[in-house]
Amino acid sequence: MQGARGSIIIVLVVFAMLLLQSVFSRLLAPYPFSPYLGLPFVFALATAPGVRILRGALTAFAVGYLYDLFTGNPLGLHTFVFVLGYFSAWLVGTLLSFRGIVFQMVLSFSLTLLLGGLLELIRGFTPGGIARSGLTLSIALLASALATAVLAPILFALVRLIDPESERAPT
Amino acid sequence: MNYFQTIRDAAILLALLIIPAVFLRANLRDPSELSWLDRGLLQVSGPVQYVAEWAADAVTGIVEDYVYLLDVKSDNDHLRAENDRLQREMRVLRSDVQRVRELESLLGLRERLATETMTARVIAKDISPSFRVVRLAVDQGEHAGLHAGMPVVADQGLVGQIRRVSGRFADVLLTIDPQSRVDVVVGEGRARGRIEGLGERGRYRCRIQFDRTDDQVAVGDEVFTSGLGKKFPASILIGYISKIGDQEFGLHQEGEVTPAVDFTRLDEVLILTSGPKDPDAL
Repeated sequence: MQGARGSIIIVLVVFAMLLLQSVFSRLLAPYPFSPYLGLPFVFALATAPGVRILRGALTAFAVGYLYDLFTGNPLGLHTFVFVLGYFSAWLVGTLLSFRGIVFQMVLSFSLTLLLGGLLELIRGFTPGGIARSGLTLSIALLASALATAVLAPILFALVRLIDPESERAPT
Repeated sequence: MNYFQTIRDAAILLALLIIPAVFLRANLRDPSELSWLDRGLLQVSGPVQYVAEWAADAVTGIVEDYVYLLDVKSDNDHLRAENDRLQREMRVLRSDVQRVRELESLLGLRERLATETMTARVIAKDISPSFRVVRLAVDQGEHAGLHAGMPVVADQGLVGQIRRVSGRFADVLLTIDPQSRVDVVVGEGRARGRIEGLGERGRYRCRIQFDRTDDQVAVGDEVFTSGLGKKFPASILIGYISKIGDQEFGLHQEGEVTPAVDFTRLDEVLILTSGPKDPDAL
């Protein structure tokens, strides 16, 4: 029950952050440095030893669905990418044993870059989707990934604060 | 964790990845190419999506409205300050426009007078208890070559004459002052006479005394300087007859004159610094 409560609070915090980001977008997320605030939460859950994979994936699903609601994208776009991001981070966390701020930032940067690219790729197939030039898209993806990586340690710490159970090794 | 639980978790995880992918596929396809499965998925997801988006929009709307209101307050403060500044500027501009009009009027008068003149600004007004101006001071004095007796005019007519000069200032003796005397002609009949100020503190009036008792004058007739004695140029408007006294008895016919000049509104005046060149200028 503790874990479920933690997941619900995380979803609510992501919801609040999305609201703030959409209202104060110019101030909090100046283009092209617009971070994906939801992704570090998903990565934190995926690499936390005390979070069961099922709970983490469900939380990622909920966070992705929230993104779909708020960004006006086709239903399932962010949901799919966030769940995929969760599994990718879980795999990386399983293969690598070290943790720390550098790990959090590198993981967030690389996965945000890959998942952002995947998002843009899928958007490219959307009827009436906005087509951007390769250079503009690359700059936007890199800047967005960088902004997400910079904020990642704070968001990882926030997850630990909200869900202390996530740090406990499974018994 | 037993075998059954492991299989269940794996199935759920797979479903978490497949369900959004399937919905995404249905959403991305061209509506004309939708299969029965896509249409079914969209029909199922449509109402759920509608309610969820409505709720998200409602929450976002509340937050955005709140932020918008904060912006409105900030905008209001800014606009109020801007409005105050513009009001101040407008008052200054109105005052400047008034002054320009007065100066234009004086310029026209100067050209009509065709005599040496000097513009002076009224810098002091003595006010009676009845809020009537009883004395003026102007910002030109000895240094500008002024001396006592020089006529002072405004675009409406004769103001008076310089009474006293001291340094950079000069006092003006108004036509309504009891010490002021001016030779005048009245109306079309050119009736001659002289006026002197009544010095009343509650109203602007001069007494007029005609040379002859049988002169035909009426209330409303214009009173001009006569030019006699060369003190004032001829034909400068002084005021209008406002009252005619009894004509049957006495040596002189008397009446009252209301000055044409509104002494309370004087800001700029002309001082005639040389003798008249054209007696019919005004």
